[in-house]
Amino acid sequence: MLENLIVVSILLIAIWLCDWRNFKQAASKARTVYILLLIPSAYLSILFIFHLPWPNIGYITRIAYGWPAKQLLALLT
Amino acid sequence: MTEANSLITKLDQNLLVNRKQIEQVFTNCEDVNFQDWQYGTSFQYDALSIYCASLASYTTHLLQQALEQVAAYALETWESVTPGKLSTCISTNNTALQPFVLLEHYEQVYEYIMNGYIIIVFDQLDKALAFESGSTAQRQVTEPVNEPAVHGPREGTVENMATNLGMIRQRVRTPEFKVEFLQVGKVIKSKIGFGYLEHVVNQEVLQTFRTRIASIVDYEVLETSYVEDWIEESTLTPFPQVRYTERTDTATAALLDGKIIVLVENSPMIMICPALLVDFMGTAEDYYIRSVFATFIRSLRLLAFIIALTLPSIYIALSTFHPELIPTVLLLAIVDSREGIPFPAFIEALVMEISFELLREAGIRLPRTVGSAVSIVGALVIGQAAIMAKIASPFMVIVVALTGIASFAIPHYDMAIALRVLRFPYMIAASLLGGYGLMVVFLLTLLHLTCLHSLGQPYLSSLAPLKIRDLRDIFIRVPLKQMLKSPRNRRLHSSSRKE
Amino acid sequence: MTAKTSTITLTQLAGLLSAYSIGSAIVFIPNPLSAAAGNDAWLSITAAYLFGMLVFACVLYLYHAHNGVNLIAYSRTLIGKSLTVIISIPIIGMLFFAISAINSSIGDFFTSVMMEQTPPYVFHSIGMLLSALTARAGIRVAARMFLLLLVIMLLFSLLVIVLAIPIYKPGQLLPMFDHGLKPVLHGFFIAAGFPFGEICLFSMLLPFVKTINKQSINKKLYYAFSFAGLMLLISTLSTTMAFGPAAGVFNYSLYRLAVEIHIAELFQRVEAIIGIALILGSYMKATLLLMILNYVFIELLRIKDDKIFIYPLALVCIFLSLTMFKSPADFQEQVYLIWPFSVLAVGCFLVFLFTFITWIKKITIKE
Repeated sequence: MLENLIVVSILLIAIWLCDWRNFKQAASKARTVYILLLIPSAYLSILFIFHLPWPNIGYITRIAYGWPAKQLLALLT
Repeated sequence: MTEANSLITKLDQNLLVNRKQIEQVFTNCEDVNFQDWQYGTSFQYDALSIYCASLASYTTHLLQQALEQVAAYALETWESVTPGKLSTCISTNNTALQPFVLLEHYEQVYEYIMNGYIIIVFDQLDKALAFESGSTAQRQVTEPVNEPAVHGPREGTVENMATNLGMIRQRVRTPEFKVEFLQVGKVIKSKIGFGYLEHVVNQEVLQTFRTRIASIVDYEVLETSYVEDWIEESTLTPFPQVRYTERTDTATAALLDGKIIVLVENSPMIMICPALLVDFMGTAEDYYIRSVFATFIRSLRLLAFIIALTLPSIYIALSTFHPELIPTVLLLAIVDSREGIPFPAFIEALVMEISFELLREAGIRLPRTVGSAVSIVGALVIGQAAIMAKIASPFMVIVVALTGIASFAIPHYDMAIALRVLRFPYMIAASLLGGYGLMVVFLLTLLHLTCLHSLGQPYLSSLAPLKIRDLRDIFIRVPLKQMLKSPRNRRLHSSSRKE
Repeated sequence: MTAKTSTITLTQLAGLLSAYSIGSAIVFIPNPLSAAAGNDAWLSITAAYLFGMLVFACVLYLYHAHNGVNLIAYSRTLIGKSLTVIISIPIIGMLFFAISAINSSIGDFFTSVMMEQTPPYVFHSIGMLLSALTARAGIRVAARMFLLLLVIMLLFSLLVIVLAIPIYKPGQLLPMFDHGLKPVLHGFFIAAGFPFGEICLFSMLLPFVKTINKQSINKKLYYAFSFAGLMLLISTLSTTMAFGPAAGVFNYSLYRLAVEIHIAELFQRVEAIIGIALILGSYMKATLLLMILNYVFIELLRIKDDKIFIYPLALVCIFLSLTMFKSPADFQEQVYLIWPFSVLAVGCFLVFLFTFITWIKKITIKE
């Protein structure tokens, strides 16, 4: 867990170092979207640090395409 | 200069006023001499000649010669010249009276004295005459030490810009070879000259160059490499974006390729810009030898390039992460030789590389008397003693030696330094992640090189963006017949070029 | 809205297209196809290539019909702003999935075959970092680099295929339709999703080319796509000839082929070099997909700065690749079942829909 925490910290520090100037100079719309994009990162980093089996992108795609895909597979095999 | 004096810029009619003003500026410049003269039928008129003894070679009959020229114009003898006649002659038609320059301002007088001219100031005349005279000691034109060649001319550049330009003009006898000058700096007042072939050079590149060099203005430029800082796009990269040469044939070839050459007074180095990565692969001598040999030499150079950059890191990656890639027999020999060595391959490589770099740097500054002794010590320390003390294995010594030799095989010193510097990140990456690490740094280097530009031109031109046509002169060298017909720089022989 | 100041030449775009299509496919194909279709994998891939050409033809038709704008832009014109936002959501989801899956697979490749002791997050982070840096440098830089890298990657792949000639058994390609049509269709389904159907997303990069004339753009791009198809077909054929039915079992087919090479004492165990070269393809594809994702965001939200989102998007992809696959079976299901379905059902369907709507509009305007 500690190892993963360090990795996440390094990544966050890296993105802050690279982008804080650009973030400051960006328009408000861009800044809003930027922060919104950090939300899934935050969620997934918690999943990663604590090895949690919470819903991920696979969960969403299964809900969306799971049933028709399996039907199609049944047809083909 | 006092504030009152700074307002006075034009020369005065009175000789004593002029003398006092000039003496004040040159106080404590004891190599500036003031010589009083008299002339006229009964030597009733005064004149003063001022010169810097370190710069000018003084001739005693200078004043007589000057007056004789004035007299010849007026069809009289030189003794009968008066200030009035002098003034009339100068004001009406001084351009016929060569070879002097007419000066009206004090600043001009100071400048010309400092450029090695002899100044003659006349009483009752508010102008001065400046005569060019001689020069200081110059180095003879010899073969350049750092760029020897088996074939080809042996003319190297010297510190005098006029001589260098003369040698290049001898080769490029066309008015299309344009040369422009500018003077920069307040104290050193360096003269910078740049040249190009008018219809061959890329106009955008030239414009970019002009914009950049115009910003130098107040800086003291001692050497051509100072100018590099203004011309280059990126200072933080190890890769050079300009080339240097001391050979006039290399400079000429560069002109034909559409490059701009830059010279600075008192420096023999000619800077060629823009320099792209592929330019560092070749030398002028490649075109003087047969194309088969030239191709072979170029391939060897490419190999040297790769070895100088990656050999230690490949060794570290293979021995630590991918021993299965080494043929079994060799692997056994390596393992056997590495037995008893307490350090991992990376530390071993680092120690040997740093020792080699220290030896290389020390060798540049060694006095000749102790040179051979230190070479022997260095060879013994790095070679024999390190192995016997189990600091390094024989394979590591071979790897380091090969890397060093390969870096010497790269013809351009700046590029060789770049590779020397880059070797260490490669070694670190290889020791951390093996082959994957090598690939990552290789991609990072490639990305960096692709983003780099030299005067607006992509640094990896001909490779990325890929131009198959131009590859015939990069890793191979096709016979000159094919190349000169439609050379690298198509503008040279394009139909749109005015003859 | 996109910064149209960077333009690339047609050859560079063709190179990007080849890199995009061959990219990560050269590492994995034909393993999943062989698992599904056995020795008929090459038939599946040929059929999938033809399907890909159909999709690509529609993409190019839309490109020319809408004066060189990208997918989101002409979607706005055809179906309106709000519907465009709605359909963008699955597209964005697809792109996130694709980038993370590629990144994750590079990491899995290295930790399973070459560097077992290294933790996977090293490969995932560094791989995505490289892609992010390249994407940030811009499409011009990427186009220049990728042509070079594509040549290197193809040289290595062809070298492996040629050096493995001694172990080929052409008889393994027969008999055709051994188990009937269904396995071939299954293989076709997988290959149509990955990699040929993914061409539907490439339309986001088409506007960057310097437009000369319609005919030359189409011709060169069709050649590039066909070249990609040919390379994958050759790879499929070689692997099938070398391994026969076992091709469906061995992951990383071309790498496995390299393992089998034994020429004199020198050319053995050279698969490490091939592994590294193959990873170049995945890196290129991940970079291109990241750029496409970035442009989707910019076009959708009409943002002027085209570089601001690259790092946060890359960060999401890193964390996704670290967490999205719980097991190899999960990977199999998501990448070889769900993903091809989403490509066909969302990407290709949208392209066909837009083509149809554009065609109808053109006819009604003529009348």
